[in-house]
Amino acid sequence: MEDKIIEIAASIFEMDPRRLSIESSRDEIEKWDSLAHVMLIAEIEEQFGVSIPFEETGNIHQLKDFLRYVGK
Amino acid sequence: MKIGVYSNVNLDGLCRKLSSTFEDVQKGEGYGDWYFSLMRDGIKEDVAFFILDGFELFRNASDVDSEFRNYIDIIEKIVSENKTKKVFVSTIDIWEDKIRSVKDFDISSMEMEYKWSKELERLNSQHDNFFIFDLKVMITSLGRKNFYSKKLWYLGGIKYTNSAENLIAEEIIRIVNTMEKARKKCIVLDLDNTLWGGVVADVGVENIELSEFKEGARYKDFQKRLKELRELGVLLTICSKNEESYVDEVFEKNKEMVLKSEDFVAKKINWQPKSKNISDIAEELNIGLDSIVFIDDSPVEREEVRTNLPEVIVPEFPKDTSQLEDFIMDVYKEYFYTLAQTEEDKKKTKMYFDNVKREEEKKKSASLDEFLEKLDMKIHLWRMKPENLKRATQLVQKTNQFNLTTKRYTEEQLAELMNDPSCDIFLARVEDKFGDNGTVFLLIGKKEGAKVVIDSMIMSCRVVGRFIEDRIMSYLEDKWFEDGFEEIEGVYIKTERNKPVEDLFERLGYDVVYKDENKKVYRLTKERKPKRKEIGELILE
Repeated sequence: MEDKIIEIAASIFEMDPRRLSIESSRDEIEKWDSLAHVMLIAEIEEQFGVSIPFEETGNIHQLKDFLRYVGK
Repeated sequence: MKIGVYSNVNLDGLCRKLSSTFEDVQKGEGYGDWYFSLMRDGIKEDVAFFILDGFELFRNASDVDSEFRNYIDIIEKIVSENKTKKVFVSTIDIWEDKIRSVKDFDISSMEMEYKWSKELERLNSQHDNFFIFDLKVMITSLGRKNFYSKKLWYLGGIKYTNSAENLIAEEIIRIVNTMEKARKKCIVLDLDNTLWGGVVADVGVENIELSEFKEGARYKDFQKRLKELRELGVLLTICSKNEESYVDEVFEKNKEMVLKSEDFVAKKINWQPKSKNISDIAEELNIGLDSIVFIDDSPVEREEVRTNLPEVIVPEFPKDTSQLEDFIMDVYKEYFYTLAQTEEDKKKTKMYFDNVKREEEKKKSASLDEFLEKLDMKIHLWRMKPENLKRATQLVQKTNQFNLTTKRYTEEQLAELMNDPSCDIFLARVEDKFGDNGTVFLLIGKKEGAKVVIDSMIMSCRVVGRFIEDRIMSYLEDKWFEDGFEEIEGVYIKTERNKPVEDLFERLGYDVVYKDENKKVYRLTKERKPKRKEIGELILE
């Protein structure tokens, strides 16, 4: 699960997945801009078949925050 | 190739996706004013995609009809003012949720979509550089619920879902690839359980599975699509381990056969290994193995061909035969995708048959010279005109063997060269007593000071070996010398495929002035010009 999130994020940020971890956050990753944020949410929702409530999209700061929605 | 994406909605995500495939992707600025920069500066890219959201186009319109007219006029103006650029404009979908009673049925959106398509159709028929990007069909096939995303709209002004953007990106990539790469030329087909269901030797001619409805329709639908591919200029051939008499009988007697015997330019019905047959087909048709796609239901045969002829494309055959039609659609999109059918494409199958007759005549003739004399060739030579652009591009992009420098100019680049006064582009069409070979020769001469450089010389393989180049070069050299040029420079740049012409300029009497592993440069002056064979009649147009 964690690996898949990292993989998705890496493809959207166009960077090497080894440079990301589940702890990676928006503050440290330059490529994680607002467009990338929306793309990431869209991709995670589609790939995992889940829906992340609109209200909570702003609370996602680290990749691990997605774990709350994709189940474990 | 430079690609521009213009939209009235946020497609930044799409552009990011495209950037990972193409080096140069530009996105239009602004949303409501997506066309401003195009009106002001023209199209800067080689190809521009207008991906337009139907609802947003008319969101704030007070007078929908005049707004509609306005958009169409803008598009037409951009298309006419940028003739050397390809413009793809999307069909539209107008989706609006509204609460209304059942009785209150409103078709104004549908009418608008229809009017839009109707205008695009008109532009499509009037402008060679205009193409329709069928967004509406993508939306229909994915379904609106999966195409649009409310959440992304509210979050980032992004209207389309990820999968929608992927679908759009795939189509753009396919289109651009089609412009840049040569498509394949030929399909080699197995028969039993590929073109029809069952083994004809076992079940009999009337009992093979092939019908308009139910089970047999899997194969009939497959054949219909193959016939359409043939009409796009794809050569169909057969390679089957079978008894020829059974196969002939199927063609003669089975009324459900969509494909007729004469739709196939070559048939190999025997018990030889398929790789051997495919090599023979390639040789007979004078095409490369890498321009062949082999379709066979048997994994054993596919593996045999893959192992022995790695250049041949061998797609996996669907395990579920109800997918046959989807399968051939994918094969089309992947290997034969065509933006616009040329006159050459329509005649392709006939031209190969004419060639078979020529080969027979050749065998009957005592010598090559006698055969060539008897061919009664007429070589029509003319300076390239705008209406030749499509065919010229095809020659430049697709010819591998008789291609001295293999410079793959795009249609846009050719159009520029055509309008460049320091550049002479000639085309030739060759007719003989067996038929028209079509436009088969292209030459680009660049004038540099006192010399003319043969930048490109290209001839379609189907007329190679008839000394056509001798005839044309003799004429052009005389013309250039008369115009005051002192020398003509020939260039050969080696590729994997153009070995047949590595000594062409030597044969034409040019002197080598430079030579390394990959390149040779030659010179011809008026005094050194040799006498050459003059076969056929040269007609200047």
